[in-house]
Amino acid sequence: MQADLEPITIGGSSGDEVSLLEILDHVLNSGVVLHGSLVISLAGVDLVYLGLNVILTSVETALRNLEAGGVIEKRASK
Amino acid sequence: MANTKVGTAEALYLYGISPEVKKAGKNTARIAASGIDGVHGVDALPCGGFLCWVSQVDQSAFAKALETNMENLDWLAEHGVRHQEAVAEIARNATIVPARFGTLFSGPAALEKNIRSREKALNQVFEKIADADEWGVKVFNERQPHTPAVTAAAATGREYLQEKAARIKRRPESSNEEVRELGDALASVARDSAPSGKVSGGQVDLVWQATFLVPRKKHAQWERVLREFVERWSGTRRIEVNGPWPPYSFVGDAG
Repeated sequence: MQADLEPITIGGSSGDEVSLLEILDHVLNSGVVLHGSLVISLAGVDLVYLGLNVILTSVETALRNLEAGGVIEKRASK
Repeated sequence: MANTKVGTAEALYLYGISPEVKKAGKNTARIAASGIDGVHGVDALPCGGFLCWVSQVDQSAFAKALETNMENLDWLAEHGVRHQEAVAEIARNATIVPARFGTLFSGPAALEKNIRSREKALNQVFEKIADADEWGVKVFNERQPHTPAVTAAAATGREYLQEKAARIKRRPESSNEEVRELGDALASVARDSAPSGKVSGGQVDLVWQATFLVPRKKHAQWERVLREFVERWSGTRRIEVNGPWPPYSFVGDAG
């Protein structure tokens, strides 16, 4: 694996950092496990429609806050 | 090993499973990433003929609060990143079948029983994911129609999600021939593909996205396909690719 947190944007223009969104997209893509059972829905909403307003929170911010022992800052989306 | 008890207040959080390495010393590989709870480290536990990557977590603070916490977006973001950090670090050194987020066991005995019951599925997945990485691909329209942001006034995570869901359902299905052509071209290079975008599905101007399992030795071919479409779509559509990821989306029954 090379540079797993480095996004490769081809012909794109959305910046240099992979967003937290991409991480959650992949980490949660197969569903989550609660009480030993696989669930694919959260908050009564199919995970397919789950969206977080942390779009602009870059991994870098998340990691910095994790290192500082703080809570991830949630920035308003535009 | 099977009867080793974790303290009654502890549970085991599973990140993923690797083939057991017989060579002395290898099984005790140290993972620098902090565990899912930010307190306990990540351990490699030989288990049922495999190597399980686990952390101890507190029963009441972590395990029992998991369901509530999954609706807390700050919590989910922080722990999702920790999960990714640990799995990615392991994946740099070993083949790993990533476990689904939130996979917990009461202790090593329960874990081992589960692993043994999935032995066949696990071996099939190891074969499938060998020497391949997961990549995400997104296609955006370059036009920027005004789309109001989901209101920041949603009082709870649940309200926010429901609002977002309603909005995504209003979006017309993309049945564009050319976009399908890209999907087919990528799928012909990839070993497997899966739908994606459970979280980022609400991005403005996103018209299509999918996740692919791409053999490392086919990477140049994969990039050629992408570049061809980037040139063809210049000014009309934008392609974003993210990866390489551990094969989160391709674990099937084994995850």
